[in-house]
Amino acid sequence: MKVIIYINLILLGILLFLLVFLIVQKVITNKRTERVEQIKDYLRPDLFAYLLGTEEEIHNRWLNNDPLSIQALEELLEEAASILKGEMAGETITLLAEEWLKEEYHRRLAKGRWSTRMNVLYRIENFYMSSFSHHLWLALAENALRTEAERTEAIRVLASLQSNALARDLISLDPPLSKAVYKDVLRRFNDTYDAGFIENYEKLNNVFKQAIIEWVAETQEYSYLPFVVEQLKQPHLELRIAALKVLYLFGYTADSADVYPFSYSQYWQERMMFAKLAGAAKKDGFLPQLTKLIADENWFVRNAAGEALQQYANGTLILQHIIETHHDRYAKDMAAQWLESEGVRIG
Amino acid sequence: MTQFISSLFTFLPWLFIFYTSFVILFYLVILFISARQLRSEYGFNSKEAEEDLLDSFDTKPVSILVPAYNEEAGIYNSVRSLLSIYYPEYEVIVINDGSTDKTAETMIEAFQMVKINFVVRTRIPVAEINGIYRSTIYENVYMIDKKNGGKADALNAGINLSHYPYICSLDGDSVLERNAFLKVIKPVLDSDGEVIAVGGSVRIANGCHIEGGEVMTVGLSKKPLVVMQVIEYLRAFLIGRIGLSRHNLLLIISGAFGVFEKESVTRIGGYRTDTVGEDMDLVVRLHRMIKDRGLKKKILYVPDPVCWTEAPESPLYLRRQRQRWHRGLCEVIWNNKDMLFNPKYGLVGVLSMAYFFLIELMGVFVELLGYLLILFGLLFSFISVEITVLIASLSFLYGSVLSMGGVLLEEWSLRKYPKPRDIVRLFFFALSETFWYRPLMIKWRLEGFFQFLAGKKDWGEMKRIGVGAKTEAK
Repeated sequence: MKVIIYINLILLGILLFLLVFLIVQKVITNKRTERVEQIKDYLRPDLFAYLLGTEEEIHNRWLNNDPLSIQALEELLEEAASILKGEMAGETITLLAEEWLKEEYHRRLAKGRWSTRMNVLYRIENFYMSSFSHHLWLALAENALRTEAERTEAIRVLASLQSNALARDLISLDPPLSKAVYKDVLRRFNDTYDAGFIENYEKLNNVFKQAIIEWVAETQEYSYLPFVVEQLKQPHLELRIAALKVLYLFGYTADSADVYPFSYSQYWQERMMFAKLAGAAKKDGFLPQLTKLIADENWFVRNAAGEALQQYANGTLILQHIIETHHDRYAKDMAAQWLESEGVRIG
Repeated sequence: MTQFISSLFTFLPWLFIFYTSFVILFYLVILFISARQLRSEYGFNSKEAEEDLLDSFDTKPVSILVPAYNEEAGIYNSVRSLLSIYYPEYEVIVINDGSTDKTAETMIEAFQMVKINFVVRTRIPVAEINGIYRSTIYENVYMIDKKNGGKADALNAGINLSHYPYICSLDGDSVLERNAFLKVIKPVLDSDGEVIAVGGSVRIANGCHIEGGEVMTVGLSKKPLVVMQVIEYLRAFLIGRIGLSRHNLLLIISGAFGVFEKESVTRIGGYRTDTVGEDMDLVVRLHRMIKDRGLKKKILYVPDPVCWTEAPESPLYLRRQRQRWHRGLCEVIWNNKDMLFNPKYGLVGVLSMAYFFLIELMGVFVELLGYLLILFGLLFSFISVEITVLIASLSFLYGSVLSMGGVLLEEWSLRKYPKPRDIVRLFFFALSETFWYRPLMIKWRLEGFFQFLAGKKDWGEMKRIGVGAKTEAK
């Protein structure tokens, strides 16, 4: 009996102790944050004058190796990196970061807490600290990064730092990356590296291939157009669909022979993409296929065909004609919807 | 007879003791798993990861479904705040589920909506639709005006209309953080679509300062009933869901906030309309689909609070909510009883479903038993003083100590409440839980159980104050 009551009291005691401990910690953290804000206020004018080139050097006693000052400097550089976009300022930020934060970041990369290591990776990228390039590459190659998130982030950072080693070995990384990460890498790498991947396109895995096609759409580089058209012949459905999407985004209207076969594809995604491309091209040659597709068994295809027809100069007439004469009820409904949507086009 | 009663009184206390000890142990294990995971993520600068997403072409467009039944007070603010979230491509679909007030009129007027003749792809059958409207000011705002069919039916109608591959259901009384979608869609992108549902953590908005749909400062309400609900949310979300999510066992994606892959949802026929636990039911059936078809898909949970919801402040509405929740839980387990303890469904069947049945559902009866034993033990000394004290201690441990643990875990890992005073208040309210809040909950949940037995299906009136509207007026 007494034992039970003691256990209760001990438990309560432990919890109370934890509470007091956490509250004290909270008060200390709150104070610390306040102090860092103060230091930032002292340091900000001099630092920004230096970054903007109005001052040759920084003479400020708050620029030192004290942990609070380091944190203040870090946050100020972060602030500067997000508002000062010029190349000069960027280089100066990198210089300052390499001088004052490098050691601290090496220490933090070895820390036990996941979030600490991740945050440092983000900072290295933001401050463009090339000195970490080798270190990160080694960690990646030796599988020394502890979590998947760190692995992909390290890859992103290396791409930003234009790591030669990453460009060389990206294809052989095991396990392969996800599409999103491949695209992130392509976005970060400079043109030379990216052109290299396109040259070696056939050697890549399908996910990487798809990433390249989609990335091309983002670049808005019309010089890649022949490359994309080439991909319409890929045996892999996903790649063909991705290529069709890019052509649509580019407003591709050139050669109807390239896309015409997709209007009777066995896959609805390809028929739908054909309808979309036809709507962008507005060529009379596509009209018979579109009037067929508006009665397609798949809703998405019908919808795209309706939208495409509506974009033709005489679209209203064609849709009206379908409503009056088409034998398919779904086709009539779809035509009616698109005919009306013209009235409520929203500017 | 007397012998039967006396052996009953030796048996029942031990039943309670073993059951409660087991449950407490279970919770402690989960608490430990959650604590480790949360702590490793402490201070993570998620903005960095989200920035990349915001201007990437990879984010999947999302259709936000807002079912509305008599929400004329809050609907404008809800939709307004949705229009300012950070996400590259989304649409808002309000489903007016046969409201008897001016919900539809408010929407039409505020967003200058016009009726459109849209061909809806009816993949899930729903109640009759009166009309579909689209805003002339915001291209991505739609409203479906339909006959009343319940929340699940409204959501299904929204799914039919939606244009995008991912859907999110949102209650009219919730406020989303602006980066909520970036946070929850990230696991989907990182996994190349392997993750088919993501739940975000929900917090209570009462007491926080909200402006233009954004939580400016996090505070704690002065009302004891609300503080207790905050503690409940902390306990449930921090302890339960993270521990379960790590092993792909998550069973509830709260009705207040979750993002689902539309294809998977339509494949299983959308939300189930004959239950009040439609949100949980959907997730259970998604798990079922994953196992039945042997898919390599996942359901995840993001611990960051991304959605703020209005908690009922009066006993009347809290009671209705709890009755409904418990009834929903019973219905979900009943409707999916073949999954319970079924090894075919792996850990979901033998652990998650078992947890919801044995702990969440049956727990009410055992907790009640505990209180009765203490009461009778004291009054008539049927049972020894030692046993009574033991039972009381376990009740205390289960009711209060675990909640206090939840509060401490929040402070140790997430630190959403900036004022030390709020933490102290949360802590001592948690301490008081066993003595008044738990008994109340037991009573209301039992009522919910009996409603389930009686086959009650309707929702019961809910009064909305309108979170955004009220706090903004201050």
